Amino acid sequence: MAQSETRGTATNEPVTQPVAMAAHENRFNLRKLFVVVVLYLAAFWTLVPMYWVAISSIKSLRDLAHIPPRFFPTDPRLDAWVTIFERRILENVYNSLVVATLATIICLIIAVPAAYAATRMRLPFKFVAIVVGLMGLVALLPPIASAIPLFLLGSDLGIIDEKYTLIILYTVLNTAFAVWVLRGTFMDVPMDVEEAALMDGDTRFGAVRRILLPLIFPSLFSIAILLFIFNWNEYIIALYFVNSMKTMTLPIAIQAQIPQHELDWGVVSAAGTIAVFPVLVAAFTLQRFLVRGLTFGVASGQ
Amino acid sequence: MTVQQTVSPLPGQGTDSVTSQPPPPEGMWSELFRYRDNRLGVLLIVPSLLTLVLIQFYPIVYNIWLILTSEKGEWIGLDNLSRLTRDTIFHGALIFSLKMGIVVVPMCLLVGLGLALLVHSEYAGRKAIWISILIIPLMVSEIVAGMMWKIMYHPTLGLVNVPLVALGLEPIIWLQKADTAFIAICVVEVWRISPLAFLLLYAGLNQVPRDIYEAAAVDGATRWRAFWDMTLPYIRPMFAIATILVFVWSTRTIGTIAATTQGGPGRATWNLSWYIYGMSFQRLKPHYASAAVLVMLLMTYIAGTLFVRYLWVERSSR
Repeated sequence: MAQSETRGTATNEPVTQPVAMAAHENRFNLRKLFVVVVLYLAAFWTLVPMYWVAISSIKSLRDLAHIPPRFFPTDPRLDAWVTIFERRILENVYNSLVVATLATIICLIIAVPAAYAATRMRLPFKFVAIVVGLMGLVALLPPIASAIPLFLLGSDLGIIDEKYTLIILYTVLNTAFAVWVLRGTFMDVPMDVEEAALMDGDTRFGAVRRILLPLIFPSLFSIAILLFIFNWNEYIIALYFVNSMKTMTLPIAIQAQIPQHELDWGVVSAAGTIAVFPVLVAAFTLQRFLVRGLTFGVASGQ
Repeated sequence: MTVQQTVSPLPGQGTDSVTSQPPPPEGMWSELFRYRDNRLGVLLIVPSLLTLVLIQFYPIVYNIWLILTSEKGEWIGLDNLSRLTRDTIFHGALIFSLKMGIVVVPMCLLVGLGLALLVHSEYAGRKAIWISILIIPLMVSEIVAGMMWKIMYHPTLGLVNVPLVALGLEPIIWLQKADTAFIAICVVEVWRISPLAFLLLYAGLNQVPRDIYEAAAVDGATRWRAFWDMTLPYIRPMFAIATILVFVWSTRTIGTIAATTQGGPGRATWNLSWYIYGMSFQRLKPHYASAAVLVMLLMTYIAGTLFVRYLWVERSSR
């Protein structure tokens, strides 16, 4: 069959299509290449400080002093890790764990009923608007603005440098945020199912326990992780309220380890690695929950 | 099943509303306590309101009291505020905070928007992995972020000078000079905060309906045109929220400064938070520092009012 006769008809399409496809494929690949390369660069930029801290903690003194700095340690040592454990970093980890966990749990216990009431109980709109608006505002409030009055109050009451003070403060610090976020989560769950259960004679508490809680559990879990990370990282309140090893949380311990001597970086690097490790684990194992929680955190209320 | 139950699915409210008097004309408070159900609702909200009192109202009222009195507890009126207006260290700190906002906010938004578009594009392979890597800085403590970057900027240990030296330039001692220290801190802040902008804008992009692009492609719109005329207007509210949050986050920074420069060299990198901390905790002048807190609160409240407006008022009136 002569090609010229069939130009433009269905029969010559198999001939031209691969050419067009190839051109398209080419363009596609260039764009894809660009996207992927830039993303790899961004990932590098994000992760490199963490990598650098992690390897600095296992570098030998010779490697630390080497110019230019080595990207891979030639002679890994655990000296810095031994030192940091000798400086009782585990006590700081324990303090951080206790404070962060308890504050997270108490915060949720306070915030979940409030978010429930704000979304499910048909309170006057204006009241809810004012409450939720205030909560949103407080979520923006810089903690340092409250630190001075709370510190003075704390010294008057003699409760500076106590773990339970930190727990109370972290709880109240995050409650507004938690209510704000939970409210968005609750609004995403349609009310019909609960109403059906209520009509079938279930109590309100029963409907919450059997229907609402299982539905919102993933979001609740993500918010809990988020609150835990906030508390784990909290620095400013701890700066005012921590005076001794008894209450010293990890961020304050790390600050105390930042060296005056030029090459003493191994120890603080080890401490930093300890602080970042749970966060990294959370980021990779719980990423679905985390992204959800973080996005809700600011984009709730739709 | 009685008629009442079908009329009122929520217990308490319906039965009461049937028996209660016709509602008083207006007023939130009378309405609030009319139903048993509402009383329960208020009761559930009260604990969180109490935390608000403790974390916000009490400090603000106490702050005002602090500003009006001296360190010895004497009434001095507005002296603390007028002293603040003449305090050059405070001026420096305020200017530093604002300068940092001016540099950090656009940078974070640009980086965030760029990354959001890249991850959102069909060429990015496994989006979940990219997202979980890119948001890691959000979950790193301020002080740890500052510490990490202090190592990065270290003249011999750090990585930042390596490319400079490789290009044959002099290594820069970043944290020792005022202008390089400013750049260095801004870089840390962009590292730390731009994932927030990324996350928000990515969420915004996901809300843009896909079919409008198909329609635009049929009409022959270029990608650039489509981005400019369709994507941007769609994510505008998210963009506003991201701007406000990034601004608030960058002005409240303290851990970065505590870890990297400690306000130095001299007082070149004092920002508002560091000033408040230094005045109240190190120089033991909490009353005077409260005046600076007031300035910071005003800044946050202006940003915060905008925030609530965008998030709450606009959406609920829709």
